Amino acid sequence: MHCRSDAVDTANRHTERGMKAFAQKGFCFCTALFCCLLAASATLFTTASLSGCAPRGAARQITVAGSTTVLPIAEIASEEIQEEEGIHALVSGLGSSAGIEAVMNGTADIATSSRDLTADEEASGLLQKTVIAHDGIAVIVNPDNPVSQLSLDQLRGIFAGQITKWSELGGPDETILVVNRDEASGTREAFKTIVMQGTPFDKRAAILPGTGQVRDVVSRTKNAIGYISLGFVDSEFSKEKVKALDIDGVTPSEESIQDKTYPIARDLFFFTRGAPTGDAAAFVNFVLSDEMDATIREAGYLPLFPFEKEAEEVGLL
Amino acid sequence: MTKYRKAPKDTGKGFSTKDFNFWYGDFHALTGVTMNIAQNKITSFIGPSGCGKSTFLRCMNRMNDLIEGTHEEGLMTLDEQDIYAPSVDPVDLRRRVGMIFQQPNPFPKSIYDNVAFGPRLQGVTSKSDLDDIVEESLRRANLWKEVSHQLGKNGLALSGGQQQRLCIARVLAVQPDVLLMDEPCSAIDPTSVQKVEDLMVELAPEMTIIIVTHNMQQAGRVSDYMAFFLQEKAGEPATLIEYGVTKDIFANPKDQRTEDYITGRFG
Amino acid sequence: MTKKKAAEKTAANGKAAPKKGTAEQPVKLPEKKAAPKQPAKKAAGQPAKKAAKKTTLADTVAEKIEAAAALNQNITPATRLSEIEPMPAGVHTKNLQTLSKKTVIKERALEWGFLACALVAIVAVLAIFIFTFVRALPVLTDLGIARFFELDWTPTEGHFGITSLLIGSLIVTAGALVLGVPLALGCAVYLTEIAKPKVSKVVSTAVDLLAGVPSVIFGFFGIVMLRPLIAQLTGGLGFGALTAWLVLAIMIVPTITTLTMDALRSSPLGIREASYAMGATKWQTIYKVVLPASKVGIVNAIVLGMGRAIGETMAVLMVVGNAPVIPDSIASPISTLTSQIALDMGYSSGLHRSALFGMGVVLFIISATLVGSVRLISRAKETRAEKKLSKEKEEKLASANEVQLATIAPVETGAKLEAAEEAQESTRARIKKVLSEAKAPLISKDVTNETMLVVFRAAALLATGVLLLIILFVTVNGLPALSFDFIFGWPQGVNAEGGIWPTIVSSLYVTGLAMLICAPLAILAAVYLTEYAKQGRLVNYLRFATDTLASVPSIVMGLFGFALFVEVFSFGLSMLSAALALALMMLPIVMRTTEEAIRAVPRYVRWGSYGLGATKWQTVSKVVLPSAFPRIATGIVLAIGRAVGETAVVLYTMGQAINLPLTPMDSGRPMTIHLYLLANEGVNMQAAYGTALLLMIMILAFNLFARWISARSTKRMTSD
Repeated sequence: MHCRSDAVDTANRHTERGMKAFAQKGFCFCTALFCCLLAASATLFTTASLSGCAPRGAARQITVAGSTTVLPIAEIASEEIQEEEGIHALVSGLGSSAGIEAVMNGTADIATSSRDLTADEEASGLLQKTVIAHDGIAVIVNPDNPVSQLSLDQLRGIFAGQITKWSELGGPDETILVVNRDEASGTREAFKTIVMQGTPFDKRAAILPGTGQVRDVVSRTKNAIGYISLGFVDSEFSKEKVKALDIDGVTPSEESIQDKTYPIARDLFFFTRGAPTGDAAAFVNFVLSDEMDATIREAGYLPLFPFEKEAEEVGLL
Repeated sequence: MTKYRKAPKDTGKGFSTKDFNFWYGDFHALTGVTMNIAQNKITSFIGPSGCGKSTFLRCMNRMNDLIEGTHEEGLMTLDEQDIYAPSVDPVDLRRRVGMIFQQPNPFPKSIYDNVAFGPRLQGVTSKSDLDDIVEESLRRANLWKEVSHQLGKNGLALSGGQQQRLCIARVLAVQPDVLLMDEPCSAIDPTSVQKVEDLMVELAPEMTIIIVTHNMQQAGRVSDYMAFFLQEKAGEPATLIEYGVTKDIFANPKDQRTEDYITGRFG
Repeated sequence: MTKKKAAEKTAANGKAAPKKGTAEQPVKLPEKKAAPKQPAKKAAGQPAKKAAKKTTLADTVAEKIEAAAALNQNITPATRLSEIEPMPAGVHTKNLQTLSKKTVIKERALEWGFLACALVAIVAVLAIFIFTFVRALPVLTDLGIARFFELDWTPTEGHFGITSLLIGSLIVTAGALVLGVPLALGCAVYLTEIAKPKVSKVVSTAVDLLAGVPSVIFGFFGIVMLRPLIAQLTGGLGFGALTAWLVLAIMIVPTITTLTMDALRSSPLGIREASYAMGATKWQTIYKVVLPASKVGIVNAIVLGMGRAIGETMAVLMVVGNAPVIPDSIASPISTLTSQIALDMGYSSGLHRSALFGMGVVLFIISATLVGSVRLISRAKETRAEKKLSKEKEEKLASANEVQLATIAPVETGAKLEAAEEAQESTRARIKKVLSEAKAPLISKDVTNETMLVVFRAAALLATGVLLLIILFVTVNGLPALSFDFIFGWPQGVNAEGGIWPTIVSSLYVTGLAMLICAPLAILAAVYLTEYAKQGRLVNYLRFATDTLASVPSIVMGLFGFALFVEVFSFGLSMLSAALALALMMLPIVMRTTEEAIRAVPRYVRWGSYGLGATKWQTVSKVVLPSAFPRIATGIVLAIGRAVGETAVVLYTMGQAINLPLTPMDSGRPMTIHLYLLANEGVNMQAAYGTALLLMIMILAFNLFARWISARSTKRMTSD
């Protein structure tokens, strides 16, 4: 004890003595420089890299906002169109509603959406709709779960919290662990419209803010059930598997979605204020082009059929 | 070689050391200390800074055990019991050998709780017993008059001198046989010094008091016996140079170095 | 040899220094008690505090003298300056120069300037409250307060009752405290009181560094490691209070540990020695002396930990399951105020959004209340009235006083004296008997001691073990992902394969920008508080404001940033909006470290400067600030480390688009949000681990850099 306090005392004296001699100018400078560098370097790097990849500058700029579901597609499109046509598309994912609002009040050029317009939004008459892809929503369970098919009514019962045991559905006598999506999710919106049809969701269900989370949790939890876009059911990134259930006797697949026999399917949209023009139109067309098909598949969705594309494409002025 | 001047004989009572050595890690701090401490008398340890007197004092209740890497050699006994024997619990030793420090160190608790601390440690729980002990100890420490009306006051709110006497009362509460005082007056004002010195003289008939001091006058005023420690060369262990009756040493130091020190030629 | 030498040296020095202490005792005392309130730098520990205490006193004295001097100068020469004819040069060379008007104005202007900077804190706190409150008004007026505090939270159906969320917040916080506080206290006690100095130094450095690990990484750990584990244990999904408790407990351990260690270290060293000398065991010393002595500091640490737990957003959001209900069990999903705000903010509109701001107001009030109570606790300790004695004892004392009076009375007879002495003898004998007969406790003190020491050691081991596990986990999983392309490449494809360069740039950009805004303000404000301000109501308000600002949950700061910078100032989702919000978050941190740094500059350095005829500003700018610079720099770098790890505050102020920001008006996606999104998407986990590792390395680098600065400056100062 004694020693400890002594050592400290000695240190103190040293410090005080040192205070008199400021021999640290160079060092001060060094540190100050570092702090400034933080900001400066960030700016410089940005300038360098941007001027490298976008020689035509940011003059041609459009803003794309909205659905997180469509975000990956929009982001890739933005990167590629930047390279190919020098259009700088600022993409953000705030949710479909926010995107639509942004386009209505003019802060964004294109709203990406995983739902159709509401009656109110439709009534404003401001917005022009473009379908850009199809999406099927698969209901997934753990591969160990013996249940392999449900009716739409049963599904509704589960997510409304009325059916709580797997035994009620021909499975083991265990509690159903429901995994829902957050309200910002377009997938949830679609699921709500198609499956729930006005019945409220059970509020006790876990709400996860990401497709991957839902898949991961279901793949690793025996009694869980959730829903994700069909494209994510088989993931190249994860070893764990999930099982997609047949709904009303139809197996979810590209075919059943394209021929509209699988009940839980929806379209993905772009909305613009009036018909898209200029760079916005170029962006819409680029997303519709065959070049983007692979990307759309990677994002878990189905690209449009060629005949559908023709109908949606915008004539460039 | 230590020079003894009518130094106390080994009576089998109280502290006694034979060829005691002490190390801080690799540093040999003390060597060859052989002395008997007189029962119920005041003994002062003097010497210049770094002479090992505090170290030796702290060996007597094994406070140095709290520092990493210290060890000792030789014999130190209290009532003929080797206090460094493996079977001895230093915690129990410290209950018998109280200590006062240079800096008054009351606990940040009430005066009452400060004094009752030791008895409570020993398992005294009765409120009336504790009240008695607190009162008695504060009386013995000559503090009762000043604080009896404010026992709930925080010990830190007292003046420096009062704090030191509170610390003494705190130690007295467990009725120790020996009281070690490590420069008890160097951090308090002169008026308070007087009070503490008076107190020591009052207490001496009932307990052995050992005081480390830098103040030659104080050593002369209060102590019956005096021990002079010195570290002759830096890096070498310090040792006991001269030990005996205070008056004799003051009047006629046998060792040149003792004389030099008490006449103020170095230190 | 050094130890003993040093020991004796102090003995010699002791004479001068402690005497000063004694002389100042009565005046110094309030300062001493107030000390735990000031979070002092850990590295400096107790002695620095002591120094600070002493300087504070000297401070006020010096300031009074200065103030008096200034007053005199103002009245006499300055006012008459205009009337006096300019003297011919040389005539009055022997007279003292009159105070120049220019100097007065300049010094005044500077003071006002500094004050303005200091007021930013108050303005910010008010603005945050007012703005969030105004945005919350619709839900309060349209819905009514009663319905706002209903149980039912179903925004889609117009139910905006926040009570279940509030309860969720409380459940999560309470559990985290129950788990985390004992762990943190045990850890702190072990490190300050029990561990060998070397062990303590290494481990407390580690704990310090861990305090900087961003919450999103804890959340990430919770979601990938803890959740499956708890799912298996409980048979549920693994989302819920239990998981949140564990994650939050781990998170608050470093915070509470470091603050508690500060408190323990600031208790006087001597009391431990005294306790050991009284024959107390280590455990008795800790339990009966050290902990009570540091009570206020420890309570403050716990309250601040509580503030951190209740305001925590990202980690909670990732593990609670977000079901806005009263949970059936600790393993079923719940939701909290913070997580619900973060979850809903992106898509909410109208009343729903207003309700989120209402929740922000509630959070703000909770955290401000916590700060207020900390201040009250500290102040209560300062001005606490004398402890009430038991009635019995008071009576006893009264009679004792009578006896005493009798003893002192001059007309005392010899017989009386003798009787008194005899009585004393008998009490002494009785006391001896009491002491010797005192019963040993049922469990021997040694057993208790050993057991408790083991418990403390275990707590420390567990706390550091878990924290290291997290780091190890992120490192092992993240290392394979790290490569040149990963760091400097662009994200490719839908699942963000490739690199994360734009997110790194965005993180550094926004942090750098925030620091450019915050550092000058904070430093000037600290200069005002330390060098200019007179203790009084204004300073009290300022401190309360900075403390409150420091405690504002980052999601509330995010809400405010969104409302003010994004919308009202229409900076949009941009670097600038995020940087402004972030700057406000960092302001109190930088202010506090700067204040401490300035206070650590010895008084006599200033006196030296004044003695040479320097003005206040010259003294501050040429002497004080340069001396304090290394510690200020340390503080700033630490703040940068924290800012890089912030998530909730930038979540809705910066946007989430992957973009390489060029101008401050560009939006971008910082690393933390990138990690959050990757973890949620759960597809490209490799990139998530890589991002987490890189984020951690960056923050670690900032922290180590800060340590290097302070170590280097200490070395510089001691080298001569």
